[in-house]
Amino acid sequence: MIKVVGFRYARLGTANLDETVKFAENMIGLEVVGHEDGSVYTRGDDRDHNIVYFQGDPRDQTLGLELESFEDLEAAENLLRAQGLAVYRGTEEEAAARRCMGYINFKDTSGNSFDLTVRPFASGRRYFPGRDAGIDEFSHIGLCVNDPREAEKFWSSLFGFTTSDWIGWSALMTFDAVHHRFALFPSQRPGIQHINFQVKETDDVMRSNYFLNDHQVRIQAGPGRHSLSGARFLYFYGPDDMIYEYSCGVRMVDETWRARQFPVADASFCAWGCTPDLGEVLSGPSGTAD
Amino acid sequence: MIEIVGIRYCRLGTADLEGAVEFARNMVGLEEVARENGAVYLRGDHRDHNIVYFQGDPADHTLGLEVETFEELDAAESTLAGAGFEVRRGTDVEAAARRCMGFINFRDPTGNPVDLVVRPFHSGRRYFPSRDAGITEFSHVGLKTTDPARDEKFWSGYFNIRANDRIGPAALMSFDEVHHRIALFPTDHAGIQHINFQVESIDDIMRSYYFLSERQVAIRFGPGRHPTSGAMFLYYEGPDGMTYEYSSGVRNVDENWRPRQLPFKDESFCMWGARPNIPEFSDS
Repeated sequence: MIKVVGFRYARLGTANLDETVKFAENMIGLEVVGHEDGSVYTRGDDRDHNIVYFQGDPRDQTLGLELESFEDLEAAENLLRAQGLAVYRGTEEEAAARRCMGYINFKDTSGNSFDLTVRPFASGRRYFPGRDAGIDEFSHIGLCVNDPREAEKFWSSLFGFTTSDWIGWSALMTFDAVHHRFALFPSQRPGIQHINFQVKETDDVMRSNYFLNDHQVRIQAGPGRHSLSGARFLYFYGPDDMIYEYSCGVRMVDETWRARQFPVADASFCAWGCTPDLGEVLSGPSGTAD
Repeated sequence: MIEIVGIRYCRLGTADLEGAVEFARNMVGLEEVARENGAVYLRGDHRDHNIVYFQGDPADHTLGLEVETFEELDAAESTLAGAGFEVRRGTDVEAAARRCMGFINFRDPTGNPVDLVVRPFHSGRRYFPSRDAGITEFSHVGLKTTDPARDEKFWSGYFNIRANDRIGPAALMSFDEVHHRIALFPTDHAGIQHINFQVESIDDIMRSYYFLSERQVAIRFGPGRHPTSGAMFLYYEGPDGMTYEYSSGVRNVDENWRPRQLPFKDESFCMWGARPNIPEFSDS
């Protein structure tokens, strides 16, 4: 069993690095922490970085998870290879670019790319953004998978992720107390479906709703409240059609939590009644919506 | 000093009684409690009623405030008459229609009709609406004023009503611990400017926002949050152009509260960035 202890970063290719970084800084409210070799490191919390943008194919996306030790990393490498997955051991130079002490990379059965990192960097300076978005933490992603049932099995059997709730066949999974770190969405192509940052409170969600509207940013859904996690949310589109989410008040779960099955319906998505522009969220080509 | 102990009701003329009642029930979420002599009584809390609609002039608005005893009612009558205001003592039949044991009526300096009622009716049945709007209480009104300084002085001079905050010239006033019960908004005519119902939580405000939007109800302001009272709000327009408000989380103040002056601009009305589409709230 591979024990994930942290949710660390997304590495995202972008068609226009400068525009994307400007959006991350001025709209999302991220802090630019470094420019290195054509990559721009940004963050929304006190850790070294959360999102790295590089000039490249916008479909080139990698999620960085954290393992505790090099022993865990080696064990993970063996376990994944034994499953028949191609595992790549990063060079020291590549590890430096990921701002960690070592890592491996693999692709899940849908083709999503993951880094398993050891000792990713903390930071001596606290997060200080250019805009007061109230961001607290880089918290979860929506992950496009071609078969949510198979993906759920993959993450639960090899990584010990637990399912906190389901909408249709899509599992919301976690490796710690936060209701979900991965939300699995059926899709014909892999990729990160959305990137979530927690904000402090409803005030932040609502302020950003008006702020982003005023700046002609396209809202994808919300303001709303997730029926599953209880979090208040706002989804909006960034460059390269990436969807970003602010949310606050996500539910914490413990070992007594019992996963619930929700139907694929608007009321499962938003308790307030907002009508989401879901795209592939629930109605992708291989999706569960009718 | 006239001691007000409760904000009780609005009596509102309407050009279309059935339309107004239907909106109040199906959109606002009020419970219809009685129909008598062409008037329809509705409520959003456990008291006898909060709003009475009658077929008539939509500009005919009366605010009902409560004093505790007949002695206080007599004293109020003397005070107001002594100050040169025309005060009328309601008949028993009129009191019955206001569902109280006695009342006087006067107009404030702007000309807003006000009932001072004694022993307004409570109710043995609890509030049970047909739509789940989460309403907990009829809580305050916006009152139009043609001279905010003069009218603030009127209310604070003769009544136990003081300003807890001001936005430009508009005083947010109260007689108890709730941040405001009467808010005076400058304009050029008399009338009730908006009617507020408290709801349980932000969830209710947001649910109603989507509920009302889907039904083509004109949202006038919000969802938003007032920096003065801290309340989260939603303003929308009902029949006859009346503005209704849901809000949640209004601040309670005590004797240590010090009124603050906010400039008359959008961000003094909403700390989230919503812009009002309400003439009395607009700075332009």
